Amino acid sequence: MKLTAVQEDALIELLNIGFGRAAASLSQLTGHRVLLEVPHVTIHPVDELTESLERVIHSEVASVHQIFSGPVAGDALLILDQSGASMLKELLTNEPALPLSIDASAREVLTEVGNILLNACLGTFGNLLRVQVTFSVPQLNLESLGAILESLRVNQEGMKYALVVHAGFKLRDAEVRGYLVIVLSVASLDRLIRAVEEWEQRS
Amino acid sequence: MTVERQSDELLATGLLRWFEELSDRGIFTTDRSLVVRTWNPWLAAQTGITATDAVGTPLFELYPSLVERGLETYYRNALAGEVHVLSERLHKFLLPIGRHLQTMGISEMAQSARIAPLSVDSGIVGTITVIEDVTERVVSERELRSQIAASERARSEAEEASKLKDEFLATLSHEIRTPLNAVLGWATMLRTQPKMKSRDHGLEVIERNAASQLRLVEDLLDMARVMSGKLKLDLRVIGFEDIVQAAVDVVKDRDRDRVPGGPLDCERRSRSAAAGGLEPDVERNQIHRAGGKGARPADRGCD
Repeated sequence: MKLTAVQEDALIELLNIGFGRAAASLSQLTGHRVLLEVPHVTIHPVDELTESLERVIHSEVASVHQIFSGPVAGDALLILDQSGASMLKELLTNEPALPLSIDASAREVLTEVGNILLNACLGTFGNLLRVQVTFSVPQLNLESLGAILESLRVNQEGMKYALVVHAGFKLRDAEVRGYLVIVLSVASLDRLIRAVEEWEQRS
Repeated sequence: MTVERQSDELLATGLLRWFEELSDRGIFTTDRSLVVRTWNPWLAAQTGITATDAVGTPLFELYPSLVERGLETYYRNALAGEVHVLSERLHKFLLPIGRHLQTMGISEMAQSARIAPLSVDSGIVGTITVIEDVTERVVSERELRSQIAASERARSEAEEASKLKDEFLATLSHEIRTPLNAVLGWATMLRTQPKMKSRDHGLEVIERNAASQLRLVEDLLDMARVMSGKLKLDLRVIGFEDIVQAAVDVVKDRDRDRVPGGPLDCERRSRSAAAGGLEPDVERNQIHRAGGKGARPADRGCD
């Protein structure tokens, strides 16, 4: 399954609307102007996800994981490499980050940031599909990318696809890159893409 | 509703009540109209608002500041299915609860919170809020941060001190080398021209420069004694006039060197040093020291 250029453009546009909302609440919370950009969206079978993400993330990662359920169900993750995660926390809170493993406050800030982004992204999809999605409490994990993606793969039944949203945080003259991974069933993804196409034709 | 289902729901209510009673966190629930439905003992103890007063009151009447701080949206979103995490760093607290730790400048309890929808099969029936007191954690993180900053400061001070020591060593080497030039120059001339007329003068220059270097080393040892607090003052009567005269001579000498010469003058004096004519520099250094000015060459550009 591959996105056409038109589908990708429409998805990026939709996500940017949702991320605009997330950026506004982050700006309000931190007192700094936060910009969120989506330069790129790709789709991969879950089995090939590790390979494609390892091309862009090499180190241990910090991930915020939320399970969503309802008519559309799946897993949503925000993945940041650990230096990016520390930098993001420093930029947002204006104080030097300690190593994430001992800095509970930093982990909490990242959980909140992930929560805001995942809510914005999945809220956008929920509105588009006119369905109500409910979320689990977000969990932050510090692990290797492989371990996180493996746990995702193990929990899946049937053929699943992952929508990977490349996201860039821009604030205080710095940029931190992160990846939103949304794992969906083939049927859910197909439904979502059709809804995106309809939205594109309407607008 | 089946008897089984009714029994399940009663069990769930009992379970929530049990957790609420035992929890070391604040837990309250609201219905879909955001009227408080449960208020656990932790909250009653910390806020001073009893469950009897809280239950049945709209949340935003109980805490109007939630609306002023824009947190109403979080509850509206929870009713639409969203979960929210509120970190202490970005919100400080959810409910204002006094917690006085004056030594740390803390007057409010630091909190992290989670606001989530409460859902059953038929849909979302209300919200649940869980509040954690993280004041102690914030205090210990603050202490850790200031310890790290202090050790960082100490490290950069040590680096600066080491840099200054390197610079001092470089200057010192330069100073120690200066008299050696004259000694070597004259020694070579005396060896290659044993019958030269100014032999006595040459020996005098060698002697004077050796003495100058000895004085430098003594000055250095004096400094080490100052650093270790072992300096002894050598008190004796001296002729003040001689010192003033020596200092005046130094300035006169330096002005004479500088006015017409500049860099070209350095060159001239370098040539003269090679020919064994270094005495003016050496002498000036000696006079400087006699006048208590320390080991400062008159002109650093010439060696």
